Amino acid sequence: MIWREFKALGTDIVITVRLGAEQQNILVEAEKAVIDFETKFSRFIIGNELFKLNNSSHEKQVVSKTMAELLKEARHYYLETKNIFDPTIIGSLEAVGYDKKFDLINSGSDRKKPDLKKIKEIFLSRPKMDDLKIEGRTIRRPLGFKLDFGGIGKGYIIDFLSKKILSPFKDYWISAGGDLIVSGYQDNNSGWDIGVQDPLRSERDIFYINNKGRKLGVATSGTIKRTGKVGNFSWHHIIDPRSGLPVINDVLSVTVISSSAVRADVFAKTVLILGEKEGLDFIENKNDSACLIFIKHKKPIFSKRANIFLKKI
Amino acid sequence: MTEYHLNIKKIDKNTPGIVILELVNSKNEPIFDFEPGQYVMISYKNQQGQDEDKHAFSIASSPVKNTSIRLGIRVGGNFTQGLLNLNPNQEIIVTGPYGNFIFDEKKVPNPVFIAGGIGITPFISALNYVVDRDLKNKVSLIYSTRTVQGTAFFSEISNLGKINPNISVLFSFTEEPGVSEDQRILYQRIDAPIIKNFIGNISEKTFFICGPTPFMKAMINNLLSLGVKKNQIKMEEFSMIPDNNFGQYLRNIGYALSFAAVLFTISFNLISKTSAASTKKNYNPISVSSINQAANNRLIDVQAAKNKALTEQISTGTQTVPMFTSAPTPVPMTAPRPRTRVS
Repeated sequence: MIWREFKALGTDIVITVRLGAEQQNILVEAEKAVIDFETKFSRFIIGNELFKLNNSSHEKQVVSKTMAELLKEARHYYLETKNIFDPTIIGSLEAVGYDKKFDLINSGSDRKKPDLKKIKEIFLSRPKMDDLKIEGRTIRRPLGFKLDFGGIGKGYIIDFLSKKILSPFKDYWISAGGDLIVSGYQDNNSGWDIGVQDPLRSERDIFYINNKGRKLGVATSGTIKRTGKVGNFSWHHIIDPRSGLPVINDVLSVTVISSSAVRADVFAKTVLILGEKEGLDFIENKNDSACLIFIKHKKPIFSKRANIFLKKI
Repeated sequence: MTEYHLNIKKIDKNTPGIVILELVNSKNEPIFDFEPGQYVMISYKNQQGQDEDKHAFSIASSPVKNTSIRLGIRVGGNFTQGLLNLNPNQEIIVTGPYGNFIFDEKKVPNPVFIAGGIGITPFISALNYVVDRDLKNKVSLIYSTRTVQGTAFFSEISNLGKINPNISVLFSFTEEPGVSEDQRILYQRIDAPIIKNFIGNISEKTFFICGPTPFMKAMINNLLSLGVKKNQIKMEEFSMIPDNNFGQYLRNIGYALSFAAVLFTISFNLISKTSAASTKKNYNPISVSSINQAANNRLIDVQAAKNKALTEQISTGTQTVPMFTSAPTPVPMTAPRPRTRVS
């Protein structure tokens, strides 16, 4: 196995793959693809393609092929999750303080407490995903329509690496800050053991998920990271699209296993927002997905299919 | 990349809207080798004692006289405004040199430099280099600005043209009414007939264009209308935010394959691989240089540096970023294992 680690998308990227030493350039190409993706689609880079989309004064635009695919993917999940996954929540994120790349956000001590009523008002009146029309690479959307691919980007790019760049290889895993795509087997021909982070003791794992040789996407979402304080107002980055405010429930974190990284990524956030009962129902209705839900002061809950992959530490 | 702690030797604020910094090291020794057309990243401590984020600026001095470097900077955002408050001897942290928008006298015998505004800076380096080396290359410069008063390096360029007879200069002032008996000065925008009249035969020329996006668009149009081939044109964009339509525009005129390949730092070497005329170049719609005179987002700089390193690795097959295998030596390394965590 050969692996490569680097920083991108505001997190650590690790690519591990069984390949010959002479094929190592594949990993460089993969890194380059991630950097290119971040360059074009990060919300934090002024002047990139997403910036232009968000700030254009034209309702009709021709976008790149990748942008068109991302938009279609985003709309698909918006519909599949019944509007819970919603990449237009950007305004709310910015209003509560998530307006710079996470590692650049200051303590916020100089900021004022956000006006929650105003946030909600702006949020609810924003142009919605329903207003987005896509025909090939031509899109139409109302002015003021703003997107953030933060909820889909990491999953999308590691699926892309898996499908396009690592397609000649069978045994590998790719991680983007804990969102994973795993395929095949480790050196000893057993599946990959994927550690699942304990939401209360982040340094340790609480379970393993074993892929048993299958290609799986795995992602975890929670409210314990990417948090901040603006004045006396504490926030985190998971916004409930029904209220426009950071989600409030007892779920600490959700790990989803699915057929792709982007599905796992989107569904993990969806379950987190929906909460324990509704979230579990949502996953049970997906025949390619399973989940582990960690709740405050309770034992973790597993969907039925989760048992296929779970392995005790 | 090595960091150089340099000191300001001189700050020139004589040209409205422009600040020219001359930087030296404490021992007055050569700072680093660079090539005409390259740029550096700089940062400094602001009045609050905080380090400003790094910003990129072209070197506007001769590589031959490398005991100092000079930067010509248009004052716009907070970073460049802050430069006006600096004093001689104050420290500037410099990394570099970077960039492939290079004048190579052996590969380009007859360059035509076309500059808009502060896009002159890489060419100032090249012109001084031609003079210092007493090169025999036939060098033409077309330099367009709004007014005489706002023209950086006006006197210097005029003198360089006098020192080396192989350098021809044409100034164009677009917002200043006037008539000049001096044929080197025009009071109108540059158009195709002016270019043709100034440089004559276009067939053996290589055109370097640097300036704001609208200016570059206009110049490309002019050159193409004169029958200049695409592989004779080398560009570097200087603007606040790259123009979305400009990328499309360039694609429309046939650059699509080259430009779409890499978002950042598409070297002109890449273009030259697909064309017979091989000269060093670079352009892309969101290039590092495009932020030279702008808000210069630190993130973009980081992205560009990463991308450049990766592009070089792919093209050369070398690995400069650590790569570990399962049997590393001499220090054993443990392979990472997959772990899902809250992201």
